[in-house]
Amino acid sequence: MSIERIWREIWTFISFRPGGIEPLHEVEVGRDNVRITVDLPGVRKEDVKLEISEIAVRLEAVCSIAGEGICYKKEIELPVEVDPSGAKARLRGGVLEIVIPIKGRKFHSVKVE
Amino acid sequence: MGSEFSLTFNLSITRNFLIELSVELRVRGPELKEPVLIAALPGAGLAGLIAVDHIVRTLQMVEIGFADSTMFPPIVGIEKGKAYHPIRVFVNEKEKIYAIKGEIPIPGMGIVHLTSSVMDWIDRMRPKLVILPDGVGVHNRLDIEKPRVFKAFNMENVAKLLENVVGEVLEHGYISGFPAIMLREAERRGIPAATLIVQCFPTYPDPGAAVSLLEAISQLIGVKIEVSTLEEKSEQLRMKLRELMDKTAKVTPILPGYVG
Repeated sequence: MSIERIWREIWTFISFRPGGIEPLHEVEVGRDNVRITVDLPGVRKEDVKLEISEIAVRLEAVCSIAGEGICYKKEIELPVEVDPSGAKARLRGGVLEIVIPIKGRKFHSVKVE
Repeated sequence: MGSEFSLTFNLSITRNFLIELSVELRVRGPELKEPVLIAALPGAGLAGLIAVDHIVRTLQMVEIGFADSTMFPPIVGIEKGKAYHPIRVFVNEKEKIYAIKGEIPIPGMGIVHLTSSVMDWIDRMRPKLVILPDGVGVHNRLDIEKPRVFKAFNMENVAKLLENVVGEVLEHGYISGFPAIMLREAERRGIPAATLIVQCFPTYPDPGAAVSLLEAISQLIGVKIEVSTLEEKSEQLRMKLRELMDKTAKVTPILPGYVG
């Protein structure tokens, strides 16, 4: 692949898809949890709609920046199966953090005889 | 005194094909005596770039040049319909400050050749100091209200200058990316240089981190830099810079940072 083609692919603008802006996000798989952060500038916690299944996270959020209405939409497929009932989420300074326990990773200590 | 400086660094490798690696730095502007140079490319949280962009705006610096290369992506910036080079040189003659602001992520070899060209240019003016602001991504940024600034330098007299600057001296470890190559080249040429690295979100634009950097830069150069407009426009900036942040993370997956 030529350098020019690589550049072109990297610089294809992705954010102007119909139906909302795709926010930047990160997924980190830890020992017991999956940690997801999503960059949502301008958003307040009451304006976030968050749904979590065993394999994906779906969110929608609305806000207004400099008088312009913005709608964020994102569906994130998770790299491992999670337990949505144990999920926790918080929003600080327009960054959403979601921590979800990985399914089947609840360890019980066993006495060695 | 006005002058024109143009330098091209070339490396050609001929095997079955020819690859030409070159960075041209073209500057048309005053040559200042013992100036300060502040330079940043996109890195973690775009913190260094946001800080330099703010300095250029608030000190009303004048554009005097640009860098270009076959290694850079085929991109131009557009402002109010007018195209501009994404890596530009600015000056404020009164304060004797040059600034280099790069708005595109540059892969490794491009940074090396850009550094050579920049250093060849600034070396002629025997700069008082080269300042390299950047960010280091931290996992717990969400819980940090006021990001800390870390300082590193290449000469003892720079260490003295940094004594009265907010932040902590990096005790040991490694710095990578553009500041690292600039520090290394400055050391080789005997040019005083310092890097200021701020805690930030690794892959989200972080104007809050840039505010901490600006506080440190202001103390280092002895020029007041007002930051309230940056704080007010923080959310707009974060929206505007999302694309650049995304591309930066893809082009330079190992973002400039510090390993302690």
